[in-house]
Amino acid sequence: MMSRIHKRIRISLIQKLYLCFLFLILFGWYKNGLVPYLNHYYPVSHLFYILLFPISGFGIGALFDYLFKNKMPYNNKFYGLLFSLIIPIGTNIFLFLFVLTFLLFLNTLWISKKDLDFHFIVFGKLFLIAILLCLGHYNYANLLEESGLFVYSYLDGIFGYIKGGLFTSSAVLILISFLLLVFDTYYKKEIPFYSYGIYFLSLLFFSIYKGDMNFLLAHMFSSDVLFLLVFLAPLSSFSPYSKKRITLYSILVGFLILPFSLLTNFYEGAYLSLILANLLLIGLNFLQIKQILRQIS
Amino acid sequence: MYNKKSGEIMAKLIKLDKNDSLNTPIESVSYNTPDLIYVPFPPRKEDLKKERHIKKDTMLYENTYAPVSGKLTGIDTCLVSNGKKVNCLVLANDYQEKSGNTKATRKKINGLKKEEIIESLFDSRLKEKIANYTGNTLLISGIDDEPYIVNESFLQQEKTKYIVDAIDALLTTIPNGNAIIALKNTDSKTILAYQNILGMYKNMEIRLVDDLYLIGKETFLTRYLRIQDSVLYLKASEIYEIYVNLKKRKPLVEKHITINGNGISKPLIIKTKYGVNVADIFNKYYVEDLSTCSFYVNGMMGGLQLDLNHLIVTKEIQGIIVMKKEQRIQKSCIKCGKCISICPFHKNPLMAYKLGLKVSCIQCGLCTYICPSYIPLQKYLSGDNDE
Repeated sequence: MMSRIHKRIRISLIQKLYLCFLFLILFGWYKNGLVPYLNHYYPVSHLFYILLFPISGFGIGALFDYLFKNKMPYNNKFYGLLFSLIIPIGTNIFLFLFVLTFLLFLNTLWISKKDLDFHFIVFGKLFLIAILLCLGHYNYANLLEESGLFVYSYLDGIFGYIKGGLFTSSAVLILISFLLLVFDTYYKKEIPFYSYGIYFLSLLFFSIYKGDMNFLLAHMFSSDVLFLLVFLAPLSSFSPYSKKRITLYSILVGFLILPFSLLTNFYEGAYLSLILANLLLIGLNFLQIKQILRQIS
Repeated sequence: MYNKKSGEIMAKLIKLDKNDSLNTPIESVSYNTPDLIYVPFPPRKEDLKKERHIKKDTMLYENTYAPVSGKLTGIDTCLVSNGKKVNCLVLANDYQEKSGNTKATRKKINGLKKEEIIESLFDSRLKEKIANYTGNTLLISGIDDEPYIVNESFLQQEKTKYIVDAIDALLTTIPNGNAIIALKNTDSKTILAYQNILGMYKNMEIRLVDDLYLIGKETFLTRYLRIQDSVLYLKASEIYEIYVNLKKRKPLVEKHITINGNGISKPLIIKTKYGVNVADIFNKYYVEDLSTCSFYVNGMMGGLQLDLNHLIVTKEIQGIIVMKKEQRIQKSCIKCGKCISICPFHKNPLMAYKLGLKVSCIQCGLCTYICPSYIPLQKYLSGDNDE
């Protein structure tokens, strides 16, 4: 197809996302691989172990793209890499590969084909957590953090020295990534803005109600929540595109994070709220298309 | 930059991210000696009298005048800027330039009565527009909306005095009339050309607008300038046409077209007669091989990609952008929603693309421009999706 290309070619959103992921992976490797190794918690063979997750995630995605001739901008390589970032450290590599393969099959054979908005990455994380809970391997802390010998300050936590997803623990890096993404035309910046605003307000009111402002301080920079709001919630393929729906979706995600986090924990609460908002979006889309088709006929 | 008072619709206009490698044409040439002229005609067989000699400026049909003198030699099928094929009378130029209009040139056009002005005009649409206007604001758009096309700008720089004279003539027919000439704030040459003259005209003012796509359209321009009253909106080229009609008492049978793009060695503004075959112009001024280029008639945004063979110059044609063919793989829609948010009329191109619904629009091309997946949404909106 010939395209009317006359504007300057700029760095695309997906390239920016890869760049952000690269820095998150480097930090994750430093925090979960290098630091425990230097403190003699892991043997040298374990030094690069956690890098196997993003490498294999990307590789399996590439294999899927090659086999199914996927030409989507957000392809399986991207999703494979993205999924590897959010898993808990206690995940076994084979379990990770099994779940990822299942998710990529789901995406290729059903979600992409039917043009559904189902956020299979978020669903995949919750599915993986369910398996880990059943197997008793649910764990977000590396050996160093498990030992409890290192006491980190609040500021250390914001920088990323805190329990969290394998490569998602640095709130600072996520916020820097957000600054990089927010000026991109194709980034749905309204979603993280509105959602975080609502989340922050709900935290504030809850802290006032509880009379414990430390609760606000402890969770306002929760890296897993921030990662979800900056990277997962605004993903074009799974988020709404009309102004009204973006607002509704963002408010719903932001509003549900706290109750779900209180019901479960701050690692998965946000994921539950996003999947619920996502299912609502699918329902609305379905009803809209049905209505349009009825009008035509 | 965007003011809420100027309306929600204004917030939709954007500054286009233009390609710096495409230069603005600075050279103008005249192509006034075509061998053949093609005159589109309504399908009425009784009008066809073969081998009839036609004098220049003779009215052939409503709003259609002979651009040259010569003999009618037959009928041919030609392409016009909207992509449609039309039947045309073929007029063989005898190079005599004998005019069928014997009226003498007016010494001055200032002071003519409204009726005299209307009577002097040759284009019925212009006549109607001026006759029906009862307000007191004349809004002249000197803006080229399409990127890389600079006809309006060039015409104003070249004919500033004549344009101002015509505005002045129109203003004398409007009680307490005032004229606003809207120019882009980036068009420094045109601004300067007016500033050298406008000091003598109290009721004319220049208003500068931001370099936003579609700002030259009446709807957006009046909102941007926050003009509440009704205006008589005219393009600078229409004002020049009025000048020619009033001063020379002749129809305007020629126009400027811009030829630009990365497929040609030198961008040009070509002054040519209506009915000229565009391929003849290219054969004369461009020796390079253009077989590997795409031709966008009337611009990259709102124009159509057409074949130059049998394309003729009409009033509607503004320019041709010649671009080297560049393959971009059309990807699947990523649902970014930019096509919806950028549409100045809040249309939903995805409805046309995904569900095949008919969505009417002005074909401004913003949805295609913004799409990160290179989907030619404009085509789907027009109901033609085989690009």
